[in-house]
Amino acid sequence: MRHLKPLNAKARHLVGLAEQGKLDEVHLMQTVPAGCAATFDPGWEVDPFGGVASLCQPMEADLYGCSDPCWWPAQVPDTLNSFPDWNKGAESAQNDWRRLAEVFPKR
Amino acid sequence: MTLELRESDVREIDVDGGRLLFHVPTTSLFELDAVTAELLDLFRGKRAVTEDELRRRFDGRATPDEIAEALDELRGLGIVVGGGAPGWPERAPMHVRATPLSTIVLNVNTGCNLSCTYCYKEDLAAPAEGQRMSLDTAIGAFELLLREAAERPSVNVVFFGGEPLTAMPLIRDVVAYAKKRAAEAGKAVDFSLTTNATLLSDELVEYFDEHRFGLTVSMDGPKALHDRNRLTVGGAGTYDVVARKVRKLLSRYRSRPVGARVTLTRGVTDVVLIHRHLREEIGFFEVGFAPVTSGASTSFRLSDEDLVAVFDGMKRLGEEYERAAIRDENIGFGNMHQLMTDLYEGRAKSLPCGAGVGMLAVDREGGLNLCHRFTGSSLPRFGDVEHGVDHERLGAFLDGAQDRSGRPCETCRIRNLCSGGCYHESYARYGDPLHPVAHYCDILRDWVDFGVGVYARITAANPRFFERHVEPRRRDR
Amino acid sequence: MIRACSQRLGIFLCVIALAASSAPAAAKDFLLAGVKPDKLVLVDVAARKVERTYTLRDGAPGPGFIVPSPDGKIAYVVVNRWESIVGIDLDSGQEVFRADFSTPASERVSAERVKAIVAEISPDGKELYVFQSPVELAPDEYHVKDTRIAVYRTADGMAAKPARVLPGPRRTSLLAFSRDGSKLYALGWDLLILDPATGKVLGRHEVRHWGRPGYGEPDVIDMWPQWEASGILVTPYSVMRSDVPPTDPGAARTGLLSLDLASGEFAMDDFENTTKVIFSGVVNPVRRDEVFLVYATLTKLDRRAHKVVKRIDVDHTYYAINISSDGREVYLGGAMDDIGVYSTDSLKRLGIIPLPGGGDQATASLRLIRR
Repeated sequence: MRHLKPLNAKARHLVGLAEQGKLDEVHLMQTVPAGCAATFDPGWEVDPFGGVASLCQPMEADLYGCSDPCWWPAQVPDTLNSFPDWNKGAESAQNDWRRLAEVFPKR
Repeated sequence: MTLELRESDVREIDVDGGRLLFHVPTTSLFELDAVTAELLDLFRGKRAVTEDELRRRFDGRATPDEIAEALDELRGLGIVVGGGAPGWPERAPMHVRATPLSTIVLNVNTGCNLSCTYCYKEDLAAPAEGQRMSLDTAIGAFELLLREAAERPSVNVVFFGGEPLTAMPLIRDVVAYAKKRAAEAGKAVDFSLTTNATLLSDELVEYFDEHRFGLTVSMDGPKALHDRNRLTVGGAGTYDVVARKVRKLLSRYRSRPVGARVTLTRGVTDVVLIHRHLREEIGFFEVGFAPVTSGASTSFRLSDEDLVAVFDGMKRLGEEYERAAIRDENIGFGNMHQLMTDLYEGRAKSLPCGAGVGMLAVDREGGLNLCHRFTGSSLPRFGDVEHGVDHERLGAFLDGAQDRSGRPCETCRIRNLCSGGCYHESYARYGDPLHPVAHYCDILRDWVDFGVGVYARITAANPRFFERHVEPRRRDR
Repeated sequence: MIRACSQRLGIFLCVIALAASSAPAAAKDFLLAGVKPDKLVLVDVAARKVERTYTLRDGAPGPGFIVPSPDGKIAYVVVNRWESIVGIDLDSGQEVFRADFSTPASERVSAERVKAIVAEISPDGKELYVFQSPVELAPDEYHVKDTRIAVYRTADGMAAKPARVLPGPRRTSLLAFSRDGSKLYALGWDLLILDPATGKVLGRHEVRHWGRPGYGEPDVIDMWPQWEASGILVTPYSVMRSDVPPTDPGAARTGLLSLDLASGEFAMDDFENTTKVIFSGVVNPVRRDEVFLVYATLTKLDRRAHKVVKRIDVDHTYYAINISSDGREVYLGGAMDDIGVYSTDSLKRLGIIPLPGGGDQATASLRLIRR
């Protein structure tokens, strides 16, 4: 590759494959991780943290009452205009809140 | 023909006037030249670009051949699509049904002699009530590891708790057994342990050194910070005891470097100060920071402002790391080092961590859990020592973890580094181990941008740093 | 509708008003409620059950404001993400009226997106008044336009267009007609008295701008029309006192605003130090000093004595509250998927009516009709 200069091992690997005309075969390349998760990636995780699963909070009774009239336009998707289907299939906030989708740019 | 930019597969980062391209699907890093940079500018923000617009844009400044070549390179990476060039295809999930295990974590005792305020252990008990693992269970667990390790040349055993030092007799028995059996199976075996250090003795230090234990000490920084949360059952601070014992440990321990593990909670956020104390004044080789962002107890959880402060501190320490790396020194900032390693190699992770893939945690009843954080939790087990690993269920869980469709992770630029984040953090915060760690998605993206900049500057000024300080650590794993 | 006689401070006051068409002889109370994603529900309160469910063609993600015709035959519901209002004939279940407020772009004119939170019907049932908030969707930006009240003739049926458009003060959250149809009240930051023919402001009652010494500005947010039984609009308000330090327990006060839609009598009086959040209220038609207020508690208030008589906690938040014509039962609705039935006397819970489909009511209205 003449216009893209590789800066790490993976990039050098891709460049090598491109030179051999084998870029297509690279597509399934992936890493099976063995260490710890990238929170701020503390490395091998072996220490106290915080936490019990925190479940339903009473606010579910008011979730739609507040989100429908755009009370929190920044905190929840705007069902009035941009995301009318946000609570489709989750009409009972108390029971269905787990089904509420995040909204995010589509591929 | 119209071409368009596949925004979710590329991230551009400016570093000291140079433009870097972070290829999201493969975690490869490239430096752009003038032509590719201009091409990306042209594609950015436009729905589609026609050949005509291409020609007009470069009017004289690059030859048609150069443009075509550069475009081909971008299309080869799947960053520009259209006109017959498909994007980088979605990775097919690996159907993990039987990955060789490399590590088991044994919860040797749910009891602990301390009462640290933020401890997440769901099965934690006072020493007197601590439930120990039986030798039979531990042996069964090791045999399971040997079986499941298949062709791996080495295996690891991690001792966890509670406080593992309260279960030394069991540990000694397991070590003896494991060494014998591993030798018979033709494998090497490695041991690790995390401790609060209050129960260390000269004899124990010698024992661990002899068996080349990888040791990590839980310590939160200088006295004022450490004693906020790391308390005895009676509520007294433990810094004095811990500092004394650790200094002794560090003066003698030769087999492997010793690391410190810091828990960042409300009021314990000064990353730079803590690192300086633990590394310069106490003498740990490396310091790793774990921020508390989940958990039912909101009194310890880092508030949103705290999290920003922590992140700022991590950046400042990261800048120190960079300066030191350029001088060919490693200041032992664990989190940064991990990120540098990921970027150096170009790791594109389909899963957030090794839980369930190379590693399983065994609770005192012999149940198999995703990792040590889940022992004692209400997340169902994935088999047990007696009946073996439930590969179907575990495999199904891992399939789900890899499936990003419909989740914000699908188009996130750090999806192959974060991969949804720690299962337990998600479980603790959202009740679902596969829920993205939404509370710090933005911060983590920012952190990776920062890391790419640091990586690029180190690579430019002292590329040998990675060979000397990153590569050896990998092999040592 | 015959208004009950009530006894107040030794003065007998009877008000009799006749609606354009009266309810059938064997009329009884029903409630109208809205349930996600797209249901209008008719509830037989005596039987404690849902009598009928109507699917609103474009009700998703949830029905909004509900205005019943005075004869109890038609329910007008804001649908289509607050961009349309439909009239459902409660007997046939058919859509008999429809007005769409937004307009698409044309060659010369940008699209206009119009949202309506609140509507009201004239006492003769002939005109529907819809408070609208329009935005011009220009190619590169949005232009917020002046709010307005569009008046539709209910007889125009489907594809109704406004007969006239009145200026409507911004932030209006409730519209209520005086009993005789001569005045349209608009409750927002202040309570404006409008001429329904022209929209001209005939007068106002200061709410936010009451200027009472020793007090800050009262805060009112009310989008629940619940005056059918008594003819009196009530809403809670909260206000900070400026004459005591903020740490004083009496620094935050809760009060009641009341507007008698027949006489026009207006009052605003505190009744307690603020301890509970209250969303809406309803006046007892047979004992008009008695007011019931709801949110996470159900409160019985004596509005003449300005005293809380009784208060209980309820299972979950309710936003709306209405009352039976005989003043015996209150009905708690809004928020989730049930209507709670409580005794006005003891505040004991008499029953719960689950609504179909389990979807939340959120901010949909709870209206009383007789049919």
